[in-house]
This record gives sequence, structure tokens and C-alpha cells, in this order.
Amino acid sequence: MRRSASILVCLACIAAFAPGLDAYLKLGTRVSGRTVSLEWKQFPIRYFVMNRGVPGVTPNQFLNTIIHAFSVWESVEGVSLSSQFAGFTSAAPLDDDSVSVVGFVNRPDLDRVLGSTSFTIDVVTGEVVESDIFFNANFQWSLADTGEADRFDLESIALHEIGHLHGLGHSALGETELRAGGRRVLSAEAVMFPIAFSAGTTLGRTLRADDIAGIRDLYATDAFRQTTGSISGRVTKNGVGVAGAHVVAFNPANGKLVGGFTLSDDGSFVIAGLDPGPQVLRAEPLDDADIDSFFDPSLNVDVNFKPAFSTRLVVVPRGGTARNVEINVVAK
Amino acid sequence: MSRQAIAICVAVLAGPSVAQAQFIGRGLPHAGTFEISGGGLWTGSASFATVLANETRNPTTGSQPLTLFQGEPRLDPSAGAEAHLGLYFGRRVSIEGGLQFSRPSLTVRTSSDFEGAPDTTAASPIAQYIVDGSLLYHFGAGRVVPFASMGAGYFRQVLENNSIVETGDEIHGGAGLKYWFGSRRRSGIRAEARASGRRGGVSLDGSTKRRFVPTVSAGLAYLF
Repeated sequence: MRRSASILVCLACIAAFAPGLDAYLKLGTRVSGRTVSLEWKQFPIRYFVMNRGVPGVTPNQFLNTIIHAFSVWESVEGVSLSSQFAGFTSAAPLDDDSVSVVGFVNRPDLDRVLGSTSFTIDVVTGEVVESDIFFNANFQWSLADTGEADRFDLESIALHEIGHLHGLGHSALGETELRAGGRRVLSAEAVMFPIAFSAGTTLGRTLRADDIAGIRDLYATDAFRQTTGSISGRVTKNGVGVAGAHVVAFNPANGKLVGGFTLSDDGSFVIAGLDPGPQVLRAEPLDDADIDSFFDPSLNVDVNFKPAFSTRLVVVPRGGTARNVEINVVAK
Repeated sequence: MSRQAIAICVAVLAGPSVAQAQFIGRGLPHAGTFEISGGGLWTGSASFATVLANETRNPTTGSQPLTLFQGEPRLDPSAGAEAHLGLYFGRRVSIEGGLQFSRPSLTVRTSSDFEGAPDTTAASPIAQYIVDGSLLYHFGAGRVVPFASMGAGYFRQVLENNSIVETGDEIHGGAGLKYWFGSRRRSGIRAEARASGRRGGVSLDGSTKRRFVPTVSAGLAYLF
């Protein structure tokens, strides 16, 4: 059977999305009864690379790809991030050894998973102390600049997994369709979309506005935060909050799309890292099949509503928050 | 006798006209006369290009971006107020400075949603101030005085909750009428239509090109 594009890029990161997290789509965890974003406090992030290649990818090529993928995230304007290659290792990723390892592992049992990221967290501070990334050697990988037929682009998938390593969750900025053999991506506007483009393309090598807003939300310098803004509000149905709604901010001046979610039963959301200026807001339910790749099962996700726009053209202030935006939706 | 009567009658009838002409000749406006005016203003809409909320297409499903929805942005028509202070350099030529205020709404009409969201108009009111200068040429000096104007200005748009201020420049040209009341013709009404070309300010399509909007104003004027 041909391995179609309906393969999950990321299995599920160790921490689920936390109810009440008032920010962009970030990973979170509970520490001392409160929710904290999953993020690194110590820089540079030191990582080892497994000294194992796969057909078409030597260990050194793999290393160069990983270094480049880190650098793409670190080059986002306004963020303060750094990483450091600590050396090759024979240790496998996914071991709980306080060492971050990136490498290939052959997992034929995970026949729909291209890669996965895991975390070890200090349960007192919430700080990430280890994060491992594995790429499934059961797939065919490519390093070609323009992609290779039937091979997945390693750089694209590395960029996605390193986004997780930095603390980003999945984005829902994309459309899929159900077809025989699984779900296929029609389009995506985020590297952090959970399902990869088809094999053979390198379109996943470019960070989109949604990815950039997310990484800035976590690691922007204080000075840079003063140049962006955020939107907070609620999605309601018959006056009651809607949990798990996907809310998209569209900037008509530059076409940027940035998404967020309502992460609690009162339907509240915050989308941060936005360019100042007018934004159109749209709320939609998640596709049923996608819920597990976004939310903890404890969140009472509501998918029974029709997509709708806000009647307010929301003006994002520079360095501030546009508040009390309400998007009213109706049941399907 | 009758010829004399006719002559007096002509003189009486003609007298006011002569007197009037003499009054205008000495009267307002003349070089150094000021004119103050103010009244209501209507500004037409400014349209922007249609904008598309596009997502990158998976190459195996097509080559064009997938459009999640499209938007038609514009700055809605609005009513407002204006005031001018002018200075005549003669009966025909004057310069003036003006101030306009209006509260139009920025709107984006969304449609063609990929998942069927109903068409919606999202709106946000703004406050718009224009400070301008104009050169006016008046055609004639009677009770009804047509005029043409041209000039340039600076505008300032204050968005929702004073959160953002955008500025730009404008040029304008137009024509109007002044109608003066009474024998002294100090007070009157003034109406004007302009085409105002504005560059800068808030952009809802990323374009920086100059946009032309019609404006119509009417109000009272006073010479001193």
C-alpha cells in the first residue's frame, strides 16, 4: 500500500494542551496546580545527534539538516533563541537520560508517524530539561533542494519537530479531506500543521505567519513584544462558551493568517504575536479526526457549530491587547 | 414735464443699481478680507483591493493556493463637520486653511468561505481628521459666486480605542458656490464638491497607492 500524505508528523507530545492557557497554541503542563507553558529557560539548547543515517542521508547530512532547522527558528526576528550541537551519540532518542537526542529510529509499527518529539520536564519549575526527537527510519527521506518523488523532505519534518521541541503545539491552519487510506492535506499555512504535505515537496521548509507568531509568543524579547499585539475574547454558542474552537486572525493588509484556540469551557481565547492593525476573526470547529492531535481528552471540545466571522473588525494595538472580542456561532 | 418725470423715474430706478455697484466695488471681499466658514461634510467610500485568505496548497491536490475566504475592504461613507478660515488677495483669489472631522467605519465584507461560513461584514469605527490648505478662484462678484479650489493636506486616522494612529497626505480639487445674503453680503452659504486623493493612512490591502474619494460639504460663511 502506498504511504499517502495522511501521515501524522508528530505523534503527540508529552504534554497536552492545557485548559486555561491564555496564549497561542503552545504546549503546557501543570506545575503546582497551575498551568505553565512548556519552554526552555537555559540557552543554548544543547542536543546530541545520533550517529546513524538512513538510505540517502548520512549522519553528517542529518546533522547539517538539524542545525539548519534550528537556525531557521532562531532567525525569526525578535526572538531570543540559541542551540548548540553537543556531539554525535549512539544513544537513542526517547530515552529518559537528561540528554536531548535527535535521531532516526526504525519504527515500522508507527506506520503513520514520520517523527515525534518528547519532553522531560522539571515538575517543580516546569522547565524543559530534555527533549528528544525521533525520525522514523521506516520511511524514505530526501535532502534534495526541490524534493524527490515518494520521499519525505527531512528538513520540513525537522522544522516541524524542532518547533515542538521549542514548545509549540500543533496548528490547525490547514484543510484536509477524508479519503481511502486516511486523511489527506489539501492545504496548510503552518509548518506546525499536524499532517505533512505529500512526499516529494519541500514546501514545509518555510515558516509561516502562524509559526512565527507562535515562536514569538514564547521567546520574543521584551522590546519586540512592544511591536506586536494580541487579541482576546470568547467564542460563544447561545451565550455559552465553546471549548476547542479554532480561531483565526486574518490581516487583510498582508494576508497573514494566525490561529489560536479556545482552551477552556468559557470559550475564551488569546492570539498573540500579531501585527498591529485591523484583523478579521473567524471561528471554526476542528475536524473530528484532528482533536486528539490538538487537545487533552479532558477538554470538552465542541465541534457542533458552523464556522462564523466576528462582526467586529478588531484593531490590534501595538504592544497591547484588543479585548472583549466575541464571536457568536450557531449549531450545525 | 413728462420728459422730466421720466428722467427722474429712470434715475430712481437706476440709482440702486449704481449704488450697488459702487458698494460692491468698495465692499467685501477685497484684498485682506477674511472668510470664516463651517458646516456639514459627507465623504464617500474608499475601496481597497479584494484580499484573499490563502493557504499553501498541497502540490498533489492542485497548484493554486486554497482560498479560505475572501474579503472586500473599504472605508465606508461618513458624515462629518468642517471649518475653513480664508484670506482674500483680491475679489477673485483667496487662500484658506481647513479642518475636517468625520467618523467613518473600516469594514471588510467576507465571502466565499471554504467551509460555508455566512457572508459577514466586520466593522470598526475610526476618527479621521484632515488639515488642509487650498487656493480658491472666484468667478464673479455677485450674490452667487461660483469658485474652484485646489490644495493639499495632511490627514490623521485614529483607530479603535486610540490604539493606532495612521497618517497620510491628501490632494484635492473641486468646485462650489457661495451665495451671499443681504445688501452688505457679509454672510452667506457655501457648498462645495471635491475629489480628494489620499495616500497613506490605514491600508486594508497592503497597497500604498493614492485613493480618490468624493466629498461634498455645505455650511455658512461670513466675511470680515
